[in-house]
Amino acid sequence: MNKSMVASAIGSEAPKVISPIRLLARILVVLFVAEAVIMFTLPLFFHTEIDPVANFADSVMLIIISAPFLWFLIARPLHTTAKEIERLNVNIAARAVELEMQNIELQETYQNLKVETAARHRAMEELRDKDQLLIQQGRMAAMGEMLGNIAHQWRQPLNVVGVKIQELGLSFRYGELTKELVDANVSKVMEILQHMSLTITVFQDFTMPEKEKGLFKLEQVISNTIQLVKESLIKAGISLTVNSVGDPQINGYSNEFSQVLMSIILNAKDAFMEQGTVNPQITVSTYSENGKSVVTITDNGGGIKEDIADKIFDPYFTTKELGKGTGIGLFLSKTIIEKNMGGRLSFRNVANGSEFRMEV
Amino acid sequence: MIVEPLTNAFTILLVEDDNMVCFSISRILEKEYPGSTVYCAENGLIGLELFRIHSPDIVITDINMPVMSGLEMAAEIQLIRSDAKFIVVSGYCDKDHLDSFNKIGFVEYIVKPLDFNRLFAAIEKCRVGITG
Repeated sequence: MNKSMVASAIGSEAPKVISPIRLLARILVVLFVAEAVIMFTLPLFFHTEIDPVANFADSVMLIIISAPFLWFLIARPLHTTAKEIERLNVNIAARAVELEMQNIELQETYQNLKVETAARHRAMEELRDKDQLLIQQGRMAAMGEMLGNIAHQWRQPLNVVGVKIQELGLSFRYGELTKELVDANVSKVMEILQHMSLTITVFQDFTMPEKEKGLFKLEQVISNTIQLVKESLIKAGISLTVNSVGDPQINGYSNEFSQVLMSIILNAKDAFMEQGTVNPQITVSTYSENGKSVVTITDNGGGIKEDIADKIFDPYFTTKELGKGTGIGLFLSKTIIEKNMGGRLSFRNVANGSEFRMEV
Repeated sequence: MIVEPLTNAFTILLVEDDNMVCFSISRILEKEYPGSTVYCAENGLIGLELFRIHSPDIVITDINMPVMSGLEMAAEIQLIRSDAKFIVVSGYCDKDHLDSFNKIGFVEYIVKPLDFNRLFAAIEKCRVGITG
């Protein structure tokens, strides 16, 4: 849109001002007529007679005499004022055009911003979806890592079941099969089968993406998680203690929370292996503080060097050797706790170890 | 050469971290081989101690155990007696574990869940070595 179009669109052209010369002429004509009328009507009232020629001359004289005065007193100042007004009007029109231009520019900027904001919003949404996918993948990776452990975790109870059942058959062969032995072995085997079944449920819950947030008990999720990593901790000679005060609950996705716990615990385990820690210990504490549920995971694995401590939550940051760590475990943990659950995940070094703190 | 009349009078060291399994197996072995003695240990370190004291004829051991693994224990035992007879009973059947134990040498490598028929067969194989 160009300037003239804008100007006509808003009708801001300078208004017409009557020329002062014409104004003066008009006043003089009115004056002449008025004087003539007066001079002709006066004799009618006073019953005198004025010569029409003298009358006419009188009117003309009056106009001739008054013209310069009128010019100086009225027309000139008016002329100046009119000029000034016209100049101002032109200015105002120019300003209006300018304002309109600015307005159009603003409108355009606003539209652009609107488009940009929408795009950003979409990008954010996509990013969130990607995060979610990454979390799911991270969990699958953790599962893959644990599959070996599960295999061992299952061989042990399977072996017990096998021994207990063969014991029945062999005892029969030795002629020593008693009711007590049968009862004892059957109940032991059933107990083990129940436990194995429970383990399957826990694993299944862990791998399934949860659709909706829900209230869950911290203690329960912690004990389920420990169930999943117990075997690999025992194998590594790590002792794990759980301290629970009260019964804190969290509203969120329990399996994602479980994933965070697992990441941190398995990281601690790797740190022990790397450092060769003697008497490795992990302590998980849970309690409520200022209306928030808090979980701390502390280990005695020597802690994390201060110069890399602020990088541990960065994506793809890892200190593990090539092929060992993905570098996304703690990044995902932070995403889960802070973005998905609106909490806080922080780290600090404590006496000869590290402490991860979750607040939700 | 004196012929041993009590061929069943041999000793077994059983190293297994699950107490209940350990107890059941030892009970069955003592029934299957009347006159034999079974010593139970719940980890490699205790197993090594018992080996030093009793010097058993056959060592049946798990690999993954707390404190000291079956592998470490077997290596130590071999230093004490180079011809010690090992029967390995483990949940692991991968090449790494097999290779590691191969260096020490074993009579039989049985993968859990334990089949007693295979265990008895392995013990027979050891006893042929003992009596022969």
